[in-house]
Amino acid sequence: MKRPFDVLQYRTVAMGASGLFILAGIILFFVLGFNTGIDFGSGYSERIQIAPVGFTVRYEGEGTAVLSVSDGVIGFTRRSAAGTEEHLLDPSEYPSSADIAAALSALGAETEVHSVLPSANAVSGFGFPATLSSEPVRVNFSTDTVDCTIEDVREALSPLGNANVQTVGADDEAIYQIRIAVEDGETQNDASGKVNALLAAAFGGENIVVLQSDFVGPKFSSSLFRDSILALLIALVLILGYVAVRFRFAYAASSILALFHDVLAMLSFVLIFRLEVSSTTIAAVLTIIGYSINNTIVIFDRVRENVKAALEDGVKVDVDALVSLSVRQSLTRTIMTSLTTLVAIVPLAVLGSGDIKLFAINLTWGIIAGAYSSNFLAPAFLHYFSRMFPIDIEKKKEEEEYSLV
Amino acid sequence: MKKTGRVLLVLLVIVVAALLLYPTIRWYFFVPESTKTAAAGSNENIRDYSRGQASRGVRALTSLLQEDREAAIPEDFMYLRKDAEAALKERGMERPEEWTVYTLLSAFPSESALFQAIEDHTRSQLLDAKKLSGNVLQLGLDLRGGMSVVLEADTASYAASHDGEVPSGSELTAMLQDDIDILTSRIDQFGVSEPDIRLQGSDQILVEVPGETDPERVDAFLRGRGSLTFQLVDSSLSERVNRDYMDNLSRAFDEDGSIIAPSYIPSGYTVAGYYAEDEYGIEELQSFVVLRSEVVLDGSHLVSARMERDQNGRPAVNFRLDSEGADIFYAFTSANIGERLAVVMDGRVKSVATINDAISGDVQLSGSFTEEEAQSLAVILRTSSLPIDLIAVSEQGVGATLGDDSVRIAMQAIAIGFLLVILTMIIYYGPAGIIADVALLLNLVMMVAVLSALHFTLTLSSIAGLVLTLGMAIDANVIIYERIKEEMAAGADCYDSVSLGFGRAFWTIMDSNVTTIIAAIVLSILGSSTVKGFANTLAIGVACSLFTSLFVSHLLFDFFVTDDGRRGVWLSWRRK
Repeated sequence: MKRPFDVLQYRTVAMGASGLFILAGIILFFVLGFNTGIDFGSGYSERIQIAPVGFTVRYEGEGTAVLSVSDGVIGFTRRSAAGTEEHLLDPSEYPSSADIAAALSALGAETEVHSVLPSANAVSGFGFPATLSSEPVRVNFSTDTVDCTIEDVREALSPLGNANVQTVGADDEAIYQIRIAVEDGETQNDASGKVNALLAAAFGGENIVVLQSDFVGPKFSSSLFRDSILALLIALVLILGYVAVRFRFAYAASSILALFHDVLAMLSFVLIFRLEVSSTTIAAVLTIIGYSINNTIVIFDRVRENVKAALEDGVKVDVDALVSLSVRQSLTRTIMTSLTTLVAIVPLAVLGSGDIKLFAINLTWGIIAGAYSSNFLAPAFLHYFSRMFPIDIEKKKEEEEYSLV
Repeated sequence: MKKTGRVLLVLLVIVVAALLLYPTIRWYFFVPESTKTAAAGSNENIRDYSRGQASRGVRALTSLLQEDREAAIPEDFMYLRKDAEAALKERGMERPEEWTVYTLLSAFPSESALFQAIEDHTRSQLLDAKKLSGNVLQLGLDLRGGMSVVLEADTASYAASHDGEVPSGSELTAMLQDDIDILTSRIDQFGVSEPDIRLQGSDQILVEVPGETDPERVDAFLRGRGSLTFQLVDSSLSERVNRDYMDNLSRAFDEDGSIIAPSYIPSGYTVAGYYAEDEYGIEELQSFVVLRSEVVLDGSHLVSARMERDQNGRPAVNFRLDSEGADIFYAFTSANIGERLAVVMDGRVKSVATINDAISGDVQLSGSFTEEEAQSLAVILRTSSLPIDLIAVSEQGVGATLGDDSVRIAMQAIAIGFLLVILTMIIYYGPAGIIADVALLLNLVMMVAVLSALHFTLTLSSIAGLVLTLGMAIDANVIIYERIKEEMAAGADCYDSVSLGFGRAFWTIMDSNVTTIIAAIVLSILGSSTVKGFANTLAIGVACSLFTSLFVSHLLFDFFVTDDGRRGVWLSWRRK
């Protein structure tokens, strides 16, 4: 007869493999650190509007001339020895961009009309009010005929990886908010250069008006992160307590150790494969904690039951044999549960994109690691802990069965 | 428990779930898009819109009347019949045989009554929709976008309260970091709204909240603590100021909108406005109140504030004072019986009450508080004050961060995953798999119902997490089925196997799920934002799955398996 499969035979191999994997993760953590996304690291945020150029203006006349745009109305202010003169070029008086350019020319500026557009919505970009010089200043006008969708903007920025693009305000205004993660040492100029070069290649540099640009801080500050780790540790201690009371201490210690392994194995996976860390990574780790402790307890419950049955029958209890037996008895259940969770999440890992794909990949790995640790590591830990804290002594009372109904 | 009792309990759960889901379903499927858009604005916008609708409506109806007196009432104005009937009844007139434009319009005593009726209708529709929008399962920033608010540090007010001292760049950033933590807890009371709050540049905070663009919501989380005070009212001076000012408001305010104190107001007194909200929830000046500058009690002595209704059914706020505050208040009220006391919030008088008795611990104040105000006050009392005040510099709607395509594909993938879970169970367990799937569907409905009752925000990752939780929830059924199979293999008959299987599996399932729930509850109490939201979903999911697997599927089994051995159930497609 073939000897039944004994999971404990592989305990050193399993523990060694897991140890190495986690060690690799720890080394990478200190050498390279996490590949933090915009949720955890700083980012660069830019608000742009895509609007065609109406005309350009230069001014080399007397004094200084300033061109301003407020509420879509263009103003021209000239300060010279003769005093200050101010002209507001109301769109009702000058209905097109060409009319405004002509009016500015009449005031002594040199203008060049690029396209004739309704003048009602001049765009006030970064750098307005602009002091005019021999360098031409662009004046763009927002129209509702801009042929560009948010998908085009996302497409244009796709070389940057995980760029975050949102529409701002009404759709037809073509205002977009763009956020990208910045690497260490990258300046605001580097970041804006990268973004604007890609946008210019797609939509033409002269049609892009930068409305606002700034560095943004991470969504999760380090204090929030610390709080979460603390909460996690408290949760682990409480689980330890519950399992110690319901089972025995050896079970509790083994399951907590297995849980630690799962969290570390997931983080190592993220570190080794250089996956981006975002808020969804936290979510994935949390889900796996719930999944994995559940898995381990089901197997331990079987061990407890088998030990108890053996004690009642008065046969000599061979803890190791019972542990192996319990793992085997739970095997169908382990496979089925892993299967139902994996089929739920794998389609998303295959078909999804961006953050959500990462989330699904993390979860897939977590489910595999969790199932592995419940079946190979937790029994191995129990093998060692049961030497120190025996599990084969009669406990006083034990519920045999119970039903809600 | 008897079978009927069990069936009734399951039905009860289904009914409750349906009730909890009702607002969400109504909002996403039955509120017209135009109403949603109109309701998304501020209350001022809603007022303008309603009045616009009313004047358009009056014009449309009167021009229709000129064209054809006997024309039928247009569908859009059918609701006016009710108002017309009420107007007729009030004037002691009979309702007409047939409703035409003429009979409808002549029922209203004046054009302004008609205007009022249309305005009231539009207003209540929009305000209802607005309220509803705050009570449904929200879609997160990644799926649908929301409101983006840029807040700027108010260095001027900081300098004013710190002897002209202006914070340095790094001090400012540190204070803003603290502000961010406080804002996060204010916005994200239950960890369910998934806001995105970041430092922008060195002196701004960027806040993105899922949901409609609604300036009132911004005000609600910006209001600081300590702006709530109790002060005595001087009645005779108040009367005199009202006589002078009420008919000529332009004299009462300076350019900045502050109230100019008349010269006869002695030092030690201040003039404040008494504001009450109109039907739109917009604060309107009602009268002027002269207050003693000396503050009896301020917000720091309040421990809690709760919205309640007074005897007349008006919203009132119940404040609970700490013991020191209660002593101060008791001493003060017993010395000032008959005087009038004002509650001042953010410099505006919200309520004036006559002191009838000495009051200590609990204070109930009825006045012009709305439910939202009482609630936001309670939230603010629970969180600490902002180290540096913030001013909103821009509020704008922002679109979803994920593209339509990627959302669509991800949703398809999630649906495929869910179907695969269901199929796997049927393929492996046969007819019993269908029972597990029924329990699973009920689990899904229960989870979504609870999440929507908590006004949860659904992001793409939380939807994926939900499906995974369902994949895990099926585990309980798997454990039970494997047990039943074992019992059958050991020779028990179908009926005994089922009851033994459920019995044996009970503690296995309990122990494994309780450990998960412990982890989830701790993380939901101590964790922050995303952690909290996810922990809540996990706890709800596990709790629901305990009910569906141990209770509902057992009930279903009992329907199919009888103890006389005539009916059984197969746990696989192979029949022995």
